[in-house]
Amino acid sequence: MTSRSPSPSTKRMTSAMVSTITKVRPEQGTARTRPGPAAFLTRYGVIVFLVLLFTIFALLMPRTFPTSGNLLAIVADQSIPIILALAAILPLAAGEFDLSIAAVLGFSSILSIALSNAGLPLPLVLAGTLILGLLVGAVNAFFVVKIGINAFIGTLAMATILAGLNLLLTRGSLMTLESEQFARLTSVPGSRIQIVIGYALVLVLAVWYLLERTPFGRYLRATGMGRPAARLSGVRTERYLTSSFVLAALLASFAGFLLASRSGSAPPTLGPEFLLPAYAAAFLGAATIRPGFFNVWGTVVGAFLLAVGSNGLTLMGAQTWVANVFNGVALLAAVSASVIVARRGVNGRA
Amino acid sequence: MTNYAVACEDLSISFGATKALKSVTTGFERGKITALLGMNGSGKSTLIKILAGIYRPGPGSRITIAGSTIAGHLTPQRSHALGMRFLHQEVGLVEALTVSDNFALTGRFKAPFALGPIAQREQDDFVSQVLQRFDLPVHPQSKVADLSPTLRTMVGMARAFQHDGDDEDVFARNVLVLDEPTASLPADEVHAVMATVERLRDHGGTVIYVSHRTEEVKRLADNLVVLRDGEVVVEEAVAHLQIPDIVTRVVGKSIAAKEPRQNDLTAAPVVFEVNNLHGTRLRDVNLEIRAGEILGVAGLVGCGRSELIRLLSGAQRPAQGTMELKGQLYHPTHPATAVKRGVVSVPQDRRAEGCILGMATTDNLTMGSLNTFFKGGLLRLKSETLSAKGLAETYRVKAGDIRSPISTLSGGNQQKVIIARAASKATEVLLLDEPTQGVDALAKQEIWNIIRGFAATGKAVIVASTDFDEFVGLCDRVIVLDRGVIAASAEGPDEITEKQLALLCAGADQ
Repeated sequence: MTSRSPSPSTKRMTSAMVSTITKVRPEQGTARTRPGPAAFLTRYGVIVFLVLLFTIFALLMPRTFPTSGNLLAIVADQSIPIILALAAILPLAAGEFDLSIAAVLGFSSILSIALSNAGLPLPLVLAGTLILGLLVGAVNAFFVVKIGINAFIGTLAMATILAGLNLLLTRGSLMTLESEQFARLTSVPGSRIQIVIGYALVLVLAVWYLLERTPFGRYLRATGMGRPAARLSGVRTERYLTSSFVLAALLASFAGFLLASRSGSAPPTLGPEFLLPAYAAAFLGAATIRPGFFNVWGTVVGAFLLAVGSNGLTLMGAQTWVANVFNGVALLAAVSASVIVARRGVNGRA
Repeated sequence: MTNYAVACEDLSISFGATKALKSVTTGFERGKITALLGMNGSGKSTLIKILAGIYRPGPGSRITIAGSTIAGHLTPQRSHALGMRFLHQEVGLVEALTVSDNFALTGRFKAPFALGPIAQREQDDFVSQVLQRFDLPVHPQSKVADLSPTLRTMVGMARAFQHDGDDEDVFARNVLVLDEPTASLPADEVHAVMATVERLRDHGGTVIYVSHRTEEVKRLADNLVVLRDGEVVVEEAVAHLQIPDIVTRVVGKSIAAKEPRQNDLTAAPVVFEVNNLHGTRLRDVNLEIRAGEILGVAGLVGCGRSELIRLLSGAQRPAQGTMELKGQLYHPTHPATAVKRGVVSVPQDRRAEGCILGMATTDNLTMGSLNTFFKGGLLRLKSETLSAKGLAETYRVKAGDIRSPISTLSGGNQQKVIIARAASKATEVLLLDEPTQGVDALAKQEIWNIIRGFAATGKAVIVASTDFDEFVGLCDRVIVLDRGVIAASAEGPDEITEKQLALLCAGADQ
């Protein structure tokens, strides 16, 4: 076959990994035609879990947890991770993993501090950072779509390269932002207003629109769920894959730009710690609202589930390791529950 | 009383609101081949999955196998212990592994002790013995990917019996269930599988045989059990039945005899022209197709049928040659460019390349045409659903809720969805690869009617198939490919007969 779409067997493996989550989907039809407790749980289990967790913390710590200050902090702290999770779900919807997004975030953050400290005006700092994102996305797409290497490996290599460049730019030490104007992009000094939430909200709406209300989004999903069939129907699946990597890197670099503004400094190792939460939110998200589909609102819920959990545990005085364990357990539990409930539904044993 | 190897009593099962089986009571005679027939969605696969212990039947159901009656759940282990042996449609061999390794997957590797190294020679000797019992000319170290589909099926069959010893009544002790073993095999190789099944029966074996190919049933089966909508509607001996009788029993009404096409195309303009086309296997293909013409492409496995469809649909780039569509150069570099020019294909592999299983029937119907519904920056979901509903009606797609995933439809209806999608976009040429493979007789008729109707609007159709029936009922002209070249052609009802086509495909000249 002279078909140019990359399909070495290793590649199929990753696609299979992505599609494990989409296997929940066939049962969703039964869920829609036959509403029942099982169908409800499949669809809203993660949300129920979030509400439950919230209620428990609110009852246990009525003075510290459900305060406007704490809740605002949770939302503001999640804004940048949510933007990164949006970056994760675009390639995931197209059937591929992009493991470089957290590294792009880290490198963009460092780059924008470096550009700003070098005296560049903010618009140019932003432009420079986004151009970097565009380049990284294009390179990722080139290797995955044109050359045909496994996205898992290709983007992992990109992440490693960027981690190296981080060290180059920072010379191995913490980099501190000098411009106050830059810092004011995400918050207003002396007030509780958190502008960063606004950026996240706009991007959430934009990605939701793109995925759910445009042909682009549908074709992107078709590329992930049935690439050969989509291709034969006249969908240029290569273009959608390419776009997904480019958009992911753009979102990630913008998230890095915001992170620079919000935290005001960047350690040379910045980045990797953001990867897992982004994917956890994406997969938790695919277990709710539209089970089996990576979706924006589900991802937002997933991100807050993890955030509420670790915030509540920290307030209760739990040690730092507890939050990590909680995140892992919550991810396993929520995704397993929705898969099990869905499987019961189709076997007629629910 | 008849001596049943397997008997079912009051077998019922529901999936959600659908009753897949309604109090099924039937039996499969010992030492006989019983054909289990029914259209797509009639409950055959469900019944088989219950016998395999995969599905748990509803309360009151009883199954008797080899004298043991089981009420309630028959586990896969129990089913196996009672002698039930299965060969599913997909055969279940891992292509990248050797035959020997594949045997070990359902059995176990020979090793001197637990977790010890694999005793490869011992393992291969064992596999070789089993293969010999089935007269299979296959080496244990051959890769499954290198075997022909027919050999794969037979290796799968041999594997099902690997632990049953090698004495005289090995077959008599067991019941072999074959789920459409020949569905994906070329028609000319089916006899090898049938011969093996017959031999099994002659050694006292009991066989349950599921197939859509009526002529196989006629040749092979002793008895007939027909399911329709989850109920047993026919149980009788095959001996006195003719093929049309069998079809009538499956469909529930008699299907009109095939009327060969009478279609004068001499005056029609040439729509599509292929000159000196070369692919990886195809060499020097030249074709002219007229408006309103249905052209069949026949030939044995590996003749290049599917490649021709891929080349014409832009899924594969030709090594050499030119094509013209309505007098204009046609050089598709991607299926999308072909679709834009009005040339759309329906691939052979329905599940992998035809539909997007996780997506809704609506999404599958409108795939590739979404821009029509993108107005004012929004995808108009209502008008999309409406248009999909219209298509589903026109093409007689039977679906409970067309917004449910397409995976909830039967095979025949999935195929209609794919054809509807392609035909609604094909403004010039419709390309079909095995359009009715694995669909039931009624759906087959409906699909043929769709194709005829499409051609009647003055568009051209190319149908690649291994089903000679399809050519007789459908085509104005048939070309026969042999190892990549056009070896023969047949035109008109006098030449397009099953016998003539079989001769041409077998390489016998007129």
